Amino acid sequence: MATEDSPDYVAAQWMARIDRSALTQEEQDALNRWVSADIRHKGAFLRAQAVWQATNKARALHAPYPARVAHVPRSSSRRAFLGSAVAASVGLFVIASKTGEARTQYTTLKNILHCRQTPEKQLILDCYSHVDDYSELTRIVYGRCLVAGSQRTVKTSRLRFVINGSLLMYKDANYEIGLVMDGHASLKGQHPSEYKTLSAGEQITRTAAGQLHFSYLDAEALARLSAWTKGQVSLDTQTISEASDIFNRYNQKQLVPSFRLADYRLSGMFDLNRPDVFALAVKTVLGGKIHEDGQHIYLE
Amino acid sequence: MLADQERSYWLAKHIVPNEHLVRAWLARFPDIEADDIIQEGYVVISEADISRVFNPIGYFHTICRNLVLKHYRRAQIVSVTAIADILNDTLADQTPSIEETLDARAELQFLDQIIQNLPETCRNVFICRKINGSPQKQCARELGLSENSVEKQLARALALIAKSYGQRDMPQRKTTGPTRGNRRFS
Repeated sequence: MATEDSPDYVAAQWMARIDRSALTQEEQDALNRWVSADIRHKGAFLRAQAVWQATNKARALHAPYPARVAHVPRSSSRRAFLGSAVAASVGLFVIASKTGEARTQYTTLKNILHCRQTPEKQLILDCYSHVDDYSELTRIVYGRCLVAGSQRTVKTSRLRFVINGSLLMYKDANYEIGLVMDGHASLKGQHPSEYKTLSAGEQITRTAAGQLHFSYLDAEALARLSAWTKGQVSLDTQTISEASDIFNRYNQKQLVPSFRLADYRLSGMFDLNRPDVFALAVKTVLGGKIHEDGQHIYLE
Repeated sequence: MLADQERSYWLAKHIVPNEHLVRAWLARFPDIEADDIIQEGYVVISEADISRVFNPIGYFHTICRNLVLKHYRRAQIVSVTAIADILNDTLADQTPSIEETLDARAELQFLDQIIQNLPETCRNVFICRKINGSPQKQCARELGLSENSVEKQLARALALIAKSYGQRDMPQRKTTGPTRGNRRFS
């Protein structure tokens, strides 16, 4: 922020110089030249003046020191409380689950579900997913979920892992995928003695034909693939059409891009639950109009 | 001086102590240089009619937000990197509210802390000049330094304090967060 040639530092030098004694005409001209050379210089100088002014308060420290007040943590705001209440009610509304002694079934529709978490276990389901959760085992029936834990078994029909960290699992009719997000995961083979250890960024894909593919993803790709766990979508040059499909999976109100806009590519981070904000961003950058009815947002 | 005393005082009172709220928001745009936006923001706000500004830091946030949007438009990019946040006007709590700003006592406490963290010579010069109120020449005599050295150390102190104001982030604020956007995206 303030290296020796940064505008902030140069501005601070001018302030100290002005404080020492009146500037000569030559110095005043030099200051004016520097300030007019770049709007950032002008801003840095204004800021330095304001900081100088703000530090005048330090004189109060010269007087008997004011009584310090013990810090009282803020109580939860009403807004935060309402936010939690809404989140909880959404969870109850959309989750069809039945709990037995041995397992808990979790099913999601257009929502992301953060299951009850303990220090030993974390489970987050993406939309349209189904997971059976046992005391020491998590089984993905379909969809996508993030499982974190220590010495926990996570499996699909054909892949079986023991994780020490977190694992992103995906399963549909054609593929079963395990991606290590953090820590390690041991992929079990057909015999108990056969296993392969995967570390963060390593991914295994199993096709319906039984072929296995190993690949490696960098930290940026991992962050993008796990953005949904935080209620975000990280677009990386997807078309508006593809982006709309993603939003439409999570929201009742459906985005409908026009042919003109459908093939434009986008990148950026968006709130998964705010297709209206995404539409506004598209409108602002690419131009066009937004029409809405009760069920749709038309991007034209 | 480019700004009159009164305007500087207004900036010192309302913007400097709360600038970190806007910087925290700016941190979500990896392709934006926060310092550039903040500096330009100071220029814009210093030229504005501040007499009717009800929420100064909220106003400053709006200025910076528009500058970020201007940056993206100027760049003529098809990418809409994080523009969702900029456009999210519908959120009532998007801008830091008056309640988010700091009271005078917390302000003094913060200033005390950053003075204590200054390097020794720098701190001594700052205390002599700004707390004891002695002119630089007298500080030089009292501290056994040259006048040039005092000026240099004072500039250094000011730059470090300015930096601390920008990086200020009190732990209790993290739990409530200055904006909804920050809570969700940072």
